[in-house]
Amino acid sequence: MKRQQVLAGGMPMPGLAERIVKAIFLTLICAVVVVPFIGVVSTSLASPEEVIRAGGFVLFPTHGIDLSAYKSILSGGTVTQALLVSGFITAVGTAIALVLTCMLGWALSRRGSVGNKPLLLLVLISLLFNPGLIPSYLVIQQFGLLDSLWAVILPTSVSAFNVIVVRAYFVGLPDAVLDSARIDGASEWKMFWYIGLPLSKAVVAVVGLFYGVGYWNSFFGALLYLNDSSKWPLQLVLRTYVVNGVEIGAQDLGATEALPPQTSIQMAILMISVVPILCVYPFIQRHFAKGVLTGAVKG
Amino acid sequence: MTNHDARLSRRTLLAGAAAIGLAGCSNDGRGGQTGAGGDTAGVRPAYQPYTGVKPDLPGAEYNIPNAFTRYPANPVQAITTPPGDGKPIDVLTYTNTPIPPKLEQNRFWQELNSRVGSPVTVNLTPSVDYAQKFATVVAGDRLSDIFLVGAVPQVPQMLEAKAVDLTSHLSGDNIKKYPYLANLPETAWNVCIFSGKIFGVPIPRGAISSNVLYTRADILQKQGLQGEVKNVDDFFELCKALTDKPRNRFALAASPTQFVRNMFDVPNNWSENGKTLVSSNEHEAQEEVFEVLRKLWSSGYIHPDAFSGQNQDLKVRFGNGSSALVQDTFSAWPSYLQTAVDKEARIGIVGPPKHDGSGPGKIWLGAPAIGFAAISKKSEARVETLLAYMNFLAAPFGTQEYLFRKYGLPGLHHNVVDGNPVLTKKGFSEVQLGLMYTADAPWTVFLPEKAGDAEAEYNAMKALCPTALADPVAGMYSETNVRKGPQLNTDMTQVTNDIIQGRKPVSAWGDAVKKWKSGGGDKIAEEFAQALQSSR
Repeated sequence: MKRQQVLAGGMPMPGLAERIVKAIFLTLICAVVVVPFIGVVSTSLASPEEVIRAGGFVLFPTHGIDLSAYKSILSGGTVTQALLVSGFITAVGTAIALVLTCMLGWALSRRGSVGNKPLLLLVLISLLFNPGLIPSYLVIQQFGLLDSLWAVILPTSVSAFNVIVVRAYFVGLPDAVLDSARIDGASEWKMFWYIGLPLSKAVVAVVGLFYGVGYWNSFFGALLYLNDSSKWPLQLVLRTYVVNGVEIGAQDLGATEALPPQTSIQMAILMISVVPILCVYPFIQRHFAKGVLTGAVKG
Repeated sequence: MTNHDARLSRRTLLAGAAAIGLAGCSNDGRGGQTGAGGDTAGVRPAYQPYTGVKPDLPGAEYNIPNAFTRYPANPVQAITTPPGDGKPIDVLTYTNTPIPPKLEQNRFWQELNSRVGSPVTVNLTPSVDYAQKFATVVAGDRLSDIFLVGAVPQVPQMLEAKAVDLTSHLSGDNIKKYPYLANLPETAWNVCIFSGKIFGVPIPRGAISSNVLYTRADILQKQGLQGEVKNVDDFFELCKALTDKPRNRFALAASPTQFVRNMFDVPNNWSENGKTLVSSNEHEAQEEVFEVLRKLWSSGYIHPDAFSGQNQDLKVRFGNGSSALVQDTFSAWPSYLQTAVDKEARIGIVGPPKHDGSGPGKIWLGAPAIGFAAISKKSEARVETLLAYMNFLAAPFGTQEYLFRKYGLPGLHHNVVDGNPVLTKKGFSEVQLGLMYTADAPWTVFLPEKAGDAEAEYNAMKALCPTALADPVAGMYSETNVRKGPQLNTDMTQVTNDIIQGRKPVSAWGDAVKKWKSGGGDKIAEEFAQALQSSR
């Protein structure tokens, strides 16, 4: 008798027809995601004539690869400088944000810590209300942070949502472990550092990713607080290339040596801003579901 | 009021912003100030056109820009002493171009500083974000020495509090001390006169920002079509001939909303009725206009992506010939030249006829200015230096200063090709200091990209602009318009697009207008009417 194949989870293996249907379905879904992405890559690499002939969007460059869009963005040094600035903001910002968020989350997760309930309430309230544009600006100004990168890093370094996620994870740690540590004479600090954090790598990775992506993508704070455009992060510099589909140059300036078409430039910009995140993502992704779900269920 | 409907182009943005008060303005103040009887005659700066460079095709007579077929061979030196005082000049304005390299790596900026005689610092913001940036900077009281006035509520009060009253420096003949500011057209100054005081220097536009219908003259010629339309039916014929769906050809790159309104004599935003103002939304021909537009859409003459794409898609469609007609401003001409793939491509302009064929129709005249720059009260002591700097930036076409300002240094930022300056890539990236949104010379038609085009554009403007309909309250200020105008306009544009695409019946327009009126339209009309009255 032929034994039915069984999948890892104990589920019976579906029949051939069902598998084919599933495969086609999944391939289609993948195509929906992947094809536009290929289009972005292709358009950024296609020659100007090809882009305009194709009506702005090229699926596969057939006339060879043309790097003029990338050259035009990367020449002049503003974009490379902005890449460094963005790297700094993201790295330092994420580090600071993680330290603050984890410490706050830990403090709020310990029953009986000083002012636990009122503090938790304060954090929750900040989820409901937004300070608004001008008050935020005035606060930054009062702290003397205008025109400094800290103005972009500090205001978003504690996100209430992330604090809640981290706190929920900490609350879910088995009390027995912490109790035994306490019996062995560990201080709160040691319990946080040597037990809490190592047990919570998944949630720290996920929250770190949230912060990292947030810092990498943010431009509005920089727009308001940084007057010196040489301190602008990548996203804001790239924004000046694509402001609402404005055709750069032609009207504001006179005749110019041929510039690549705007669509190629936009697609190249997309690539430049997406690639760094794409490189980091796979390393953190394996923690993703675990980190978020654990926090969510045990909240 | 925007013409590309779903898309937001820079020009419509600016036109919109000018209307909602980026420009702000009026010859009267608001907020309880009754205005000094609006006597602007004594305040208004004297107009003294610059005569140092002779244009190839003079436009003053027709109220259109001068046109040049080539850059004057030996540009005159317009300014002999550097305007600066050695102390930094800080400027807050917006930009529509990628930001420039920083000072240390920017030869143009370094040279600018030495020619100005003061280190110039610029705080640039992408134009679409400028209103927010400006609001925060005003609130934080950190306005630069010179600032472009953004779209914030209570502009007159803000100016009274934060900006220098320039009347004693610029009114009447006083302006002659700054000859290139005196060269700015008279109507442009409307945007910066409040309660009989001059609060800034305008960025002039006018006729060049009027919307017209562009044609690919070469395609029309190939198909044996006349670049001329006598009535609505003619227009349908033309669109039909230029549409070939199987070959992916659609006559119109986007909905020609304004062109059709021009055929039906719909006024430019507002029309005067005694002492009151009537919005063009309420014009009786609007429903007929929609019938025409709906027919164009349902016949497939308008590109199917017309309502979903971005502004630049228009240029791509026009450039690759998939749409031979597109509505845009006169100032967009060079950008269409640059996106043309086919070197044989030629651009033409079709004037709107009256819908019934009873003669030529009238286009809408562009707003005289897109905004104005003011001087901060904190810098009052240096006001003459700052005005001299703006005078430097307003040096007109044909001068050495203009050549440097727009094209940088020869050999480095531009090369001279057939006697005309052409920006190099380095030049393109380095000259973007937002200078043209600090102070600028009157617009000049100069199209070195293609021989004959300067004449073509000049002639088209000469034919259409003298009869163009002006907005009677262009550049005037209405508080309600600043606060509610943007949302009201968005709603009306949405309804317009829905009706054209057949998602809503034509009768929806009447309801939308009612909602517009009660939602602030009536108040705006009242405020503008008052501003208009007191400006006389």
